[in-house]
Amino acid sequence: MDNKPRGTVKVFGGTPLIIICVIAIALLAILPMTGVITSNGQRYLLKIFLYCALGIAWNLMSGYTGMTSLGQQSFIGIAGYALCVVTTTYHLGYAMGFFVGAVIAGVISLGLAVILFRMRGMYFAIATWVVAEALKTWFTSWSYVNMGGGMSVTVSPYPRTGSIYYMALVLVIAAFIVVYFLLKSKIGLGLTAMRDDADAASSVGVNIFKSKLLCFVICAVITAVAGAIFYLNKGTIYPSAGFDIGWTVSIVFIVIIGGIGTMLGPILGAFIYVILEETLSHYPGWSNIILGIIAILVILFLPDGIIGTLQKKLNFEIFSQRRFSESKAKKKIAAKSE
Amino acid sequence: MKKRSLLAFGIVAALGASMLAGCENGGSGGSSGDVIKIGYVNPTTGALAGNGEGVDWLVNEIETYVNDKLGGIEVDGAAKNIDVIVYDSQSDSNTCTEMAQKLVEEDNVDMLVAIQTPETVIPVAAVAERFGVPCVAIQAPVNAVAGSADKFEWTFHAFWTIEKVYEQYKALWTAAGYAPGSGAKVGIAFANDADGTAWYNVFKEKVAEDGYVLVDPGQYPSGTTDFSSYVSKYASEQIDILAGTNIPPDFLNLLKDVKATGIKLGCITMGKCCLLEGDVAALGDDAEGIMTEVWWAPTNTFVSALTGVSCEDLGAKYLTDNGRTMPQPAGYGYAALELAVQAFQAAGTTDKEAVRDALAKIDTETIVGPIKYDQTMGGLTYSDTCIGGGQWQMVDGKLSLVVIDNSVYDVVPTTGTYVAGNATNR
Repeated sequence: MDNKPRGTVKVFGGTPLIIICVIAIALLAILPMTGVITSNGQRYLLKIFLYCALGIAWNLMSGYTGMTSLGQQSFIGIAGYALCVVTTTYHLGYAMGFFVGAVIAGVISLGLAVILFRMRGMYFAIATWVVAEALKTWFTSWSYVNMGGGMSVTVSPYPRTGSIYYMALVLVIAAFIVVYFLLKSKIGLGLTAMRDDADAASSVGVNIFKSKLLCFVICAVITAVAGAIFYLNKGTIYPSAGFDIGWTVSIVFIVIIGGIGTMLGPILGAFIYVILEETLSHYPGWSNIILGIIAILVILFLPDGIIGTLQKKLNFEIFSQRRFSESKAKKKIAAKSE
Repeated sequence: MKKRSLLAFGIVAALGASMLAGCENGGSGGSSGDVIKIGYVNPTTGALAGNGEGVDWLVNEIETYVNDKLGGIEVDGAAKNIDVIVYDSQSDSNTCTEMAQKLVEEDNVDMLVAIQTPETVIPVAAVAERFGVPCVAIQAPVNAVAGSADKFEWTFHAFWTIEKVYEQYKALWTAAGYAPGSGAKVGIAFANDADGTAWYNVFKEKVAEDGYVLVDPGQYPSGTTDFSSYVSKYASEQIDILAGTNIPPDFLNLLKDVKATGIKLGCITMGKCCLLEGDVAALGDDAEGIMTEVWWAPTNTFVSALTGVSCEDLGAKYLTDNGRTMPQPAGYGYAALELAVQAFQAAGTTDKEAVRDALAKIDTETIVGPIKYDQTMGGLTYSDTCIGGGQWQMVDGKLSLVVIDNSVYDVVPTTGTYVAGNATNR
C-alpha cells in the first residue's frame, strides 16, 4: 500500500507567515516616514489598500458565503455622504464622519437583510443593485444633501495623503484580520457550508439567517469605512459617483482577477487593478476596453483567478481556512500504518 | 498546468514592474524641472465627450505658440517650455479627482486647469485647494462652483452667472414673441445634478418675477429615459415656452416625448445639449429653431492678448484642421491655457504662491473676451464672461448656430435674426 499522501495541500501558515506579515506591515508603516515610499507611492498604495478592503469584504460575501452582491456602492455612497454631512453641516471631525457612516451602514444593512435574505442567487444580486439605484435616486432628490449638486468634505487642516495612507493601512489590516478569524471560526465553517449547499448546512444545524446577517453587516461596515476614507481622499461626492455601479464592477474585477474564495486574491487583484487603472489613464477611451479584455482573458484562461490558479496547480494555500495540513495528513497516515 | 502557472506568475511580475515604474515618476522631485507643467482634466470620453472635443488641437496650438514662437516662458532665470498634460475624466467626478491627484502627485504639475460642467470643475478645484496648486477654473456656472466650498484660495474662475444666462433666455423668449409680463407659460426642465440645480433655483425665482407663469414639474434625475409624467404636466398646462439645461441624451428623450404628446410649443431654449453641432445633429430636423446661449463664436471680435489670434482666425484654423466648426467649449479650453501661460509670464517663476498671486492680478483679453478676476460670489473669486443668444437655423442646407441677440453683452456681434423653425409648431 502506498503510504504517500496524495492530493494533499501544502498550507503556509503558523509562526513563519505571521513573522512575514508583521515585517511587511512594519515596512509599510515605516517606509513612508523615511521617504522611501514617496507621497505618490502612498497615493498608489492607499488606493490599493482601500480597494483591497472592499475586495476582502465582497469576497467574504460572494467567495465564502455565496451571497453575490451588486450593491456594495450603497454603503460607499452612504458613508461618503455621512462624512460630508458630519464635516460640512455639523462641522465635526472626519473621524466622527467615519463613525457615523459605519453605524448608518450597519443599521441599514440590518434593515435590508430582512428583505434581501428572502432572495438567493441572481435575485439577491439584482435586489442589492436595485437598492443602490434607489438610494442614488433618493439622494439626487434630497435637498438635505444638496440633491444632485453634490457635497464637499470640509476639514481644516485637510489631512495629507500620508495621513490618509495610514488610515487605509489600518483598515485593510483590520478587515483582513476580522475576515480571516471569522472564517477560521465555527461560524466560518458554517458560512462555507452554506455557500456549497444552504439546505444541507441548515439541516446539520447551521443558523443560516444569523450567519448571513453577521457576514452582511461586517461587509457593510468594512465597505462603508473604505468608502468614507475614499471620499476623504477625493474631497467631493455626487450621488451619481457615490452610488455608481462602477464601484462594484471594480470590486468584482479585483476579486475575480485575484482569485475568488482566496484570502490573497483581493490583495493581488487590488494591486493589479490600481496599476492598470493608473497606467491606462494615459490612453483615453481605451482604458475600459482594455480592462474588459483583461477580465475576459483571465476568466477564460485562469478561471480561478491568479492566486486561485497558482494554489490549485502548485498545491499550496496561504491563509488557508482548511482545517488540515500536509504535516497533519502525514502524521495521520503514519499513525494508521503503525 | 505549467503554462497557467507561468501565465499567472507573468502577470504578477509585469504588474510589479509597472508599479515600480509608476511610483518612480512621482519620486522624481517636488518641482517641475525643465518644463512648466500644466495639468488639464478633460472629459474626452463619456456623456460630456462633445464638450471635450478639440482638446488635443488647442493644446497643440498653445504649446506650439509658446514653445516654438516665444521660445518658452522666462521663469526663474531660464526660458522653459510648457507641457500640457491631459487626462481623461471620463465625464465622471470620481475620475476627475483621481486624475487631478495624479497630476499633482505624480506629474508634479505647476498649475491645474478645471474645465467643463460643475461636476468636472468642482472636483479638480477641490484637489487644487487641498494641495495648494494654482487653478484656472473655467466654463461652469459661477453659482454652482461658488456653492461647493466656503472659500477658494487657489482657484480663479471665469464664466457667466445663472442670473446672466436667465437674462439672455428672457431676451430670446422676447425675440420669439413672449416678452416679460406677457403671461406666457414657461415649462422648465432641469436635471437634479449640480448644473441643473443651480439653474433651477434661479429660473424658479425669476420666471414668476418677470410676469411669466412657471410650469414646474420638478427636477428629474439625470439619465431619465421616460419623461411622460413631465410632458403630461406641460400638456395639461399648455405651455408656450420649454426652457432648461440638459445633457444631450436627456433632451433627446424629452423632445421625443414632447413630440409624441403633440404639445404646440412656441419657443424652446435649452442649454448644454444644444451647444454643439454633433449634439444637435442627433436631434435631426427637430433642432431647427431651438435657441440656446452662445458663450463663444468664431464671429466674436475678441483677439487673444497672448497669441494675437482673432476668434475668426482661430475658428477658421480649427475648421481647416478638423473639418468641423470649432465647438464653443474649445474656445474656453484655449482661453484657460492663455490664462495659465500669462500667469507664469507675469510671475516669472514657478513658485506656486507667486503664480497664484499673478493669476489673481490678471487683466487681459482672451479669445473668449476680457478676463479680470474682480468679482466674488461666496468665497470664489471670478470673472464674468460674455454671453449671446443663438438659434439653430438651416443655412445652406446645414444646421448652423446663428447669433440673434446681444442684449446682455453688446460686444457680441449678431449674425442673424429670429426665425421660427421646426422645433416649434405653433
